[in-house]
Amino acid sequence: MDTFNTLTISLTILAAVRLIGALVFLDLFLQKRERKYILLCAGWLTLMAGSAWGLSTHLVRGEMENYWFSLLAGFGTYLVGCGALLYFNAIKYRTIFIGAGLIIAYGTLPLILPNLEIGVSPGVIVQALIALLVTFITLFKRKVFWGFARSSYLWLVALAVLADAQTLAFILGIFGPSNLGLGFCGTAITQFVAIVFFLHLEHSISTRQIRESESRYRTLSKHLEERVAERTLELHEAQEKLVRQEKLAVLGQLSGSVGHELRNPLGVMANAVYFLKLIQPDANEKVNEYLAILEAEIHTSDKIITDLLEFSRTKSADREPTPARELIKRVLERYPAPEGVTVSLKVPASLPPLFVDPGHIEQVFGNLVVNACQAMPAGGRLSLSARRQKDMLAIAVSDTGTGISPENMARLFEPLFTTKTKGTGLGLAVCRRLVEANDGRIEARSELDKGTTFTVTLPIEELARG
Amino acid sequence: MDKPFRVLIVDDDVNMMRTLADILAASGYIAETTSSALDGLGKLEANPFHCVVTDIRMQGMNGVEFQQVIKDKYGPIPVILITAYADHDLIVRGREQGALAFLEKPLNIPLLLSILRAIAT
Repeated sequence: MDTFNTLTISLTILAAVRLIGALVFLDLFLQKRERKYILLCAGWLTLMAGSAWGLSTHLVRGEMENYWFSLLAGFGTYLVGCGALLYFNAIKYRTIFIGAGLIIAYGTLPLILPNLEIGVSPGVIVQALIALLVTFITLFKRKVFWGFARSSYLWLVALAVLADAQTLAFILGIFGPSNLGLGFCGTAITQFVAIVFFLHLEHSISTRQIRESESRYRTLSKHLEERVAERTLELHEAQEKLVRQEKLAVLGQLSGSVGHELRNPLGVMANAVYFLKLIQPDANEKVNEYLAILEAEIHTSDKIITDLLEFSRTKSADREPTPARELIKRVLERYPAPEGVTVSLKVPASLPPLFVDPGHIEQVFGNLVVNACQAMPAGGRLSLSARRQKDMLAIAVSDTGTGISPENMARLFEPLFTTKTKGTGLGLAVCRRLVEANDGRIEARSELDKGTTFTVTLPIEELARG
Repeated sequence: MDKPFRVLIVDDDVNMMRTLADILAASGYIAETTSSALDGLGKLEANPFHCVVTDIRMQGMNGVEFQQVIKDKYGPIPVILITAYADHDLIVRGREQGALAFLEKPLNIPLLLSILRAIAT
């Protein structure tokens, strides 16, 4: 009666544990829709069917029907084992079917062979072999545990040993027909632990996956942010350049047409003044003075118009080898520094020649030198120096003048921007156009009341020619 | 100048034409004026001229076309082209056709007078 009760209780517990296993994997399958979960679910269901069959035959006949019980237990273990191996990516799906053939072969064995003397059917032996195989493969393919906590790995080993110890006990006859119930209780416990362990593993995997995808997401989003910032800057720069070019183009057209149109009336005025002077050689002093004023102002207007036209003209550089030292010297001859301004020239003759349009670049440096001198009304020091910078030559024009305020620095090269009371605001804009037409660049640094340095970087001959 | 040196001035800007004529007259030249190339051809037909000063950009026939017609019809009369614009193609064509000089407005009057003096002597 004890055996009867123990067996009934143990088989009920076993069936319940296996049902829990089936439900756990059904739930996982419904969540994740992956085949391996349905395989695991089917395995646990088969195991449950085996124990339910054992329980019902035990209750109805008073004796447990061993053949189907063992066969279902063996097949269920096989499915769970395969599910576990698939879960760890240790085998491929097609391997399952080879194993299934073996199971069927094993299942037919008890029909041919007499019941084993130890009271265990071949199904149980299959169960033991599969448990050993699963353990062996998972141990062999250790890499499936990489990334998991070491404790998880030890858990699995312990579980396999436990499960096998229990099966081994059956095989060795430690649990005989007299204490089968105790054996089943052990099985129920190990299988319950297996399910709990699996859930723990599943949780740690998904946590790890979430952490991984979170970190990947963070990396990606950071990368994306960087790219967006980069592209935004590029776009911004491109847009600014476009707007600048557009402005320049409109300004060029406008100044071109206005400049030419103004030259006609200006020409008439100049003629009129010339005529008045011609026919009144003996005019009084006042008349002559005023005619001279008119003449001077007409000349200034013409100069402004010439600047405008210069600016509007499309620049194409006619480049040739140009020694920097000679070029700078020519500029200083053409635009001599006023009294009170000392000039320092540090442009070694040994520097490689520039490859530029000499007319353009002379105009640029002429402009910079004139500006520098104008910035030092009380005198100062004008320095011109050059040094090699990779495949370019950087020529700096420095003054010790009034300097430029930071807010003006930003607009320095804008056409029509000027701080001079008299000036078109085209000088530096023209400089930049000319420098850029020669594949160079122009930069300015300034400190209020200390001075300004313009650096023009231009290509040198040998490299420009390739 | 032994005999009167006759200059034809063609410019559709009336004030430019007038002031230039007055300067030339005050400098001892006989200056006749007209505001179109077509009228200019009429004047050339009526009287001989030693030199023609013509604007390039004009309504109807432009200065360079005018220069071509003069060359074809009256032979080597010196032509001085004047302009306020950057009419590069026309200027190049004028030079190829043998224009004596090309002057930008506002005109360098002393230069113009020296050119005329050079033709006259």
